[in-house]
Amino acid sequence: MENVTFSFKNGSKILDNFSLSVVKGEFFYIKGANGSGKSTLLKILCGLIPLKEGRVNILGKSPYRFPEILINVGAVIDGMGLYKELSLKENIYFFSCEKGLLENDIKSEIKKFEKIWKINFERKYKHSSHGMRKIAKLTLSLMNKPEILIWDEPELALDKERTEILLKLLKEYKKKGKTCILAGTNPELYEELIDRVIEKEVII
Amino acid sequence: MKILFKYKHWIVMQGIYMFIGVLTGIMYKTSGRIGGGLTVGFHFISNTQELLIPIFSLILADLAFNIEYVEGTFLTHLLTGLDRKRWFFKRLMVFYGFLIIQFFIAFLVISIGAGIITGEFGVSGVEIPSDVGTGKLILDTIKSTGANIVKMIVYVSLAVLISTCFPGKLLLGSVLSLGILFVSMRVTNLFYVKFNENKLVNILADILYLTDPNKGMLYGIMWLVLFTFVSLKKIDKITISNQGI
Repeated sequence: MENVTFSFKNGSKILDNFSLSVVKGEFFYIKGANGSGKSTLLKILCGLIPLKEGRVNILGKSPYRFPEILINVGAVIDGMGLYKELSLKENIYFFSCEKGLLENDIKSEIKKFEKIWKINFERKYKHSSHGMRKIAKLTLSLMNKPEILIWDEPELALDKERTEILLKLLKEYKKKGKTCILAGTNPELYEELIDRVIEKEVII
Repeated sequence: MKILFKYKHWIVMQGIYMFIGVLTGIMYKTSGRIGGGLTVGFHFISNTQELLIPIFSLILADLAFNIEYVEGTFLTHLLTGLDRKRWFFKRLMVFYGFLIIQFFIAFLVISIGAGIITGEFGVSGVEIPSDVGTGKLILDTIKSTGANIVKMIVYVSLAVLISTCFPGKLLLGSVLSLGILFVSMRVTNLFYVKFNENKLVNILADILYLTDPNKGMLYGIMWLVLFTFVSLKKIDKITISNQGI
């Protein structure tokens, strides 16, 4: 991310000549108060918001111009939704197909994650709790064993047991030498894992 | 496409079509007219002056994009690595297919509703003029039904285009497009009455009303390509806000 400046149409400035680089294998945490623009920063990072100033590259390519690069990224970002009328399993299956995963691989991965999380994904999204929804989104982001994880407050809505599972999953991820960008208000939780923390301040 | 049939909008719509079929059946019965269920159904799909299905389908416009935006699934699609334009083009093609299927479902539901009341589900009451013949009648029905399908998709694609200008504002696309359609029809009507013999006004009427089965189809496809193209352009510029649930 190089010299990125971004403001919303209502005038609130989110980034002002902001630069950031994360190296392969690094676990990186963006800390910030509510409303400081962490989620927007992650969206810019994933190329979801067109930029007027600055540039963003992931794995050497601009995710806005070459969105297919996101196939190698497992992202859970604020605002991400799943189909209400489908079950969690159907949702994971549907979006994994869009990522290009094969039917049998998806089915076996879903089973694997159901065991890991100790959860049943058969429930409809609209009837699921916030925690279950979050777990489904995290699972979806992990389905194709991506090179980079970009997670916005992954621990939010998870109970203690699931938070521990989350940390275990991240530890395994780190062992494999993969990269992770986390954002939230609670870097202490990931103390053992994170290599670097930056603080995203509110720009007035 | 399966997802599109699961929205409550769609389910409520079928109930209303059934009610319209029943009411039309009652009208036939009270006026002493003979009419089978299919006769009533064909009236709604092949009469190019009949706007019920094209106008009513406008309420489905949000399913193409705005609901995806509001519920955050648009964002999820993008996070799977799909190109915005390519995703939306594919989505629109599926959506247009869904509208065509819905058109025939409406025909069936109205026919059943009317048939329940008149006690006959066939095509009784259809009068074939002696100088026309069955073959020509069938051909004309197919032509005008095709024109009506195109008209419905054009109206809905206008609403979809407007909804891409106001992402997250549910129903605004449908309401504004309805307003645009009625106002432009009124204005054309005004011109038509004032300059009846004017060729340009006649062409304008054909372009906007899409009632002529031959020209209507051509102009309709022209509108459809235009609205789809502009919608694709708009989708590229949309900023993702924190909408998901």
